[in-house]
Amino acid sequence: MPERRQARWLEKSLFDYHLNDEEDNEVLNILHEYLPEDLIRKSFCFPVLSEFEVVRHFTRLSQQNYGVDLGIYPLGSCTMKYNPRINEEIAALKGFADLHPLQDCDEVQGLLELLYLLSKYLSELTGMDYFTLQPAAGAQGELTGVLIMKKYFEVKGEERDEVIVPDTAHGTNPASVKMAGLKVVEVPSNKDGIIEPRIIEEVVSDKTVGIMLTNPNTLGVFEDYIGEVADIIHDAGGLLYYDGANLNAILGWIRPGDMGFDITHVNLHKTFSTPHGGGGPGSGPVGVKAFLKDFLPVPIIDKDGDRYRLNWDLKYSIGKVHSFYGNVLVQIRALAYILRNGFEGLKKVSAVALLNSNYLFKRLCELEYVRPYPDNSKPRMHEFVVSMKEVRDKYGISARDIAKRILDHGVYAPTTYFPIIVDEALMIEPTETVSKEELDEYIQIFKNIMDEAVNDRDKVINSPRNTSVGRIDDAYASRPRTMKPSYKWGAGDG
Amino acid sequence: MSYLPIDKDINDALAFLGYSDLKKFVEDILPKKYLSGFKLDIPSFQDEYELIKFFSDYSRKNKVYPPENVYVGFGVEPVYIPSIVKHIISRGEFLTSYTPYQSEMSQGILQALFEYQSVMAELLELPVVNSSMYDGASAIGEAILMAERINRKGRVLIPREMFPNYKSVVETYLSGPKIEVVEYTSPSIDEDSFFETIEKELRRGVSALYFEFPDIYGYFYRKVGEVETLVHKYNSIFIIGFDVWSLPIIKPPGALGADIAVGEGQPFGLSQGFGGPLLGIFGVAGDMRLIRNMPGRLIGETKTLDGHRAYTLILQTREQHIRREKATSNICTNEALTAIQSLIYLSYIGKKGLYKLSIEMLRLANRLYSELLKIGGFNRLSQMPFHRRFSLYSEMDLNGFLKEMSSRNYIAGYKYGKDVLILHLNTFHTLESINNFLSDVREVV
Repeated sequence: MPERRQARWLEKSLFDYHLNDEEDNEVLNILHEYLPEDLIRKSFCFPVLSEFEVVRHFTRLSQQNYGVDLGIYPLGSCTMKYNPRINEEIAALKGFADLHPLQDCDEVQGLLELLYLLSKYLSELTGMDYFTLQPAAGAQGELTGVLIMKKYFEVKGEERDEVIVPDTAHGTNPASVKMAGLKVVEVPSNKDGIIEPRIIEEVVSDKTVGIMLTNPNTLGVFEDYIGEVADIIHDAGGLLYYDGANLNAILGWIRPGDMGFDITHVNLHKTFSTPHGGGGPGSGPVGVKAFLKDFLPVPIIDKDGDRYRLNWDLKYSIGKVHSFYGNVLVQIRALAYILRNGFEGLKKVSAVALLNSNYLFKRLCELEYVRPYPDNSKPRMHEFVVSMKEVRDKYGISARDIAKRILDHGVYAPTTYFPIIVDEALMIEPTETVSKEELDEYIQIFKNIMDEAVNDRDKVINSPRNTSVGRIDDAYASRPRTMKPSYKWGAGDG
Repeated sequence: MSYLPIDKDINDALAFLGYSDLKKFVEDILPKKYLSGFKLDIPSFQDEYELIKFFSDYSRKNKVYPPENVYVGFGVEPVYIPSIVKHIISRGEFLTSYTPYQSEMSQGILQALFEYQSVMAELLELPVVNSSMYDGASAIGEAILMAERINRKGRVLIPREMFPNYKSVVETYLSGPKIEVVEYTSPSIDEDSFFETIEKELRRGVSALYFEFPDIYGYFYRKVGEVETLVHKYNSIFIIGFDVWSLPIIKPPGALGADIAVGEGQPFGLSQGFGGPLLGIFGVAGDMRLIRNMPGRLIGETKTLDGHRAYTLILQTREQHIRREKATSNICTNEALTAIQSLIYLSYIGKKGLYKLSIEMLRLANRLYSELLKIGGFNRLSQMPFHRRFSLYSEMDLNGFLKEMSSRNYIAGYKYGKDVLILHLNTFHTLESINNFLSDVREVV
């Protein structure tokens, strides 16, 4: 398997070009005409670059970065699929990009109609009745959803404060519960990686607000007992929240609403292909069943005859979660993706995501030292988890070492050390947008690394060498004495 | 159906798993119980041209105001985006990358975000800025939650006069832990009552005081130093909300003794996009207690094991993927790309551009202010200094005024309360556009 080198420009920092920290008397004279002395800022330090230096600096930086445009990006639960370029052009249309959010509804009917359409499609695809597009990301969607649950019981006059979260959940779930001022009740998954009804029965009570579930879960396993779990929670008066991070597994085939969920968030930057931009922007719309409509953030988009309007009048609304209406230009991209595919196309998207995942799963697990978690050969969903514990115990090669060595082959590594219940975990989600050749190469890379673990250990633990920098000293980076969170740090402030 | 592997790939993978039909494969591995066989009526645009035509047609149904005719702000305003900014930010290596978990292969994003943090740190005069929040509104909410984590008084002070959307978001964020919101009257409205309230409440105990500088009306309170002294005397946390375009010329949060500074970054080179995506800026003073309690991702400069300069995510133990319910926030996905877009914008316009545009808005706002007062129908709201936003009382029917101005193609300001008009200048305004606006206002009044 050939190794591939990433660009290594050794690009200097923006602050290593020229710096200007001088006072400008002309500027200060003008400022004194309008502002009192005590308000005026004397100067500040700023990089000085020519236009072409700016272009070269950032182009070099971009070449020291890996994106879906370069190849497989199999981070589990992140759904790093190809981002269609036409959606960028659509989002940049002046009639969307240049609208001010305080414009009157009558002036933006075209936009509102599209957003209404998106809400409708999301409702239908998830089996919900109403959607808010406001949350800017999945985690904000979770906070929105948990606040809705909380308010629902406040209005009912019931004192409940416990949210059940499985040990396989994304970290954002317990963090969102905490932010909403509620308590996390963590429940263990069984040896097959799923939640058993008896476990839920043990913890459920009149304190139960509800449960947050990802289904399929982060192990890439379907929660087979979801029906029973839903009944137990509903019988106790609680609600079910669906974390949509893994919707790509079931899109168009199974709906959260049909599994008993009352609230669902979707990640437009995962399932619906909007670019993740190195960490954001995302978009995390939240859907609810009809009985929770009045709790949604305001405004929601309503239709009166032929006219679309922003409805600010929801009786029990939790309030706003975004300055305006969420990441509208991301929402537009997602709608473009949905319309390009159509319903049949979307079904095929998740079908191929399942196919690629199972192909990769089966072939990787044929390799020595690669153990599936849970330890069985049952088919997986759109992602799967393997444990590298055996190779660590035997040869001292960690999941981290393997991930770094994968980078030497010019492709990205899976998610490491998550879910935290799995020793030396690698969590792998190939998505539907990789070719079989890429999958076969990935398998070959794994195979080579397993061979190296036995025969050429140094090569693995000294990786990566082909990336734009070698292995980073993360401990040094975060130690208070040696950390450097900004250029300014240490210059008298730190 | 266009974003999938070629048929041969699909068929070969299927064959390996013992199938010849994709549908059969899916129906075998998904639980039958929930395969409801629902069918949705979602059309498919097989042709890219049809798709863009569909969206172009809809985009033309929206009214786009000339940017120099827009006199509202509140975090979102028209700003010219230089060509190179659009080109660089569209590069697939940035656009299509994920959060840089494998730092060795994601140095580009990491270095750019570190530079964003550093440039913002310079402008704020604070040593630490995180690599972005969702928007200005949630940044305020998170700042207050952070202060509450540190001080645990269960109460905070915020201005009564605040952009309603922002206030609503703050209230939503505080509704979780049930933090009591105590409001004070902005000093531009009533200075005596302001000091009286904050001193009384600080003495009773509040986790933080959130202070807008400028306030919603656009005014900078000159005794901000006394506010800071008072806040710190009672060991409370001083949070300052700022306007990015004022940072180059007005004393920044760091110089005013802010513990936390929050603001909206959209005016630094981002599209309006009907309000999103935006850029929440979040900075803190150089105190480890503050830094450890910060929400959001932080990038640090560090070194490789063999001693070369490199960048990586730091202090991740604050974050949800490691600390779960003990995390400082649930934020994961942020607004990294818009942070980088604003960085490229700032690198391009430089200190010269920051001065030129800030000063131009200062001059034009002062001119517009004095000319509007001459027209009659508008009265002074405050004598305090302002930069590019100011407010006027009016006994006119302001809704009628705004409507009439909108028919003349202007968003002529923001009506606040029943009799205040807030006007906000942006970087497109020129002497000519201000004069045109004034003659239309004269006619309408």
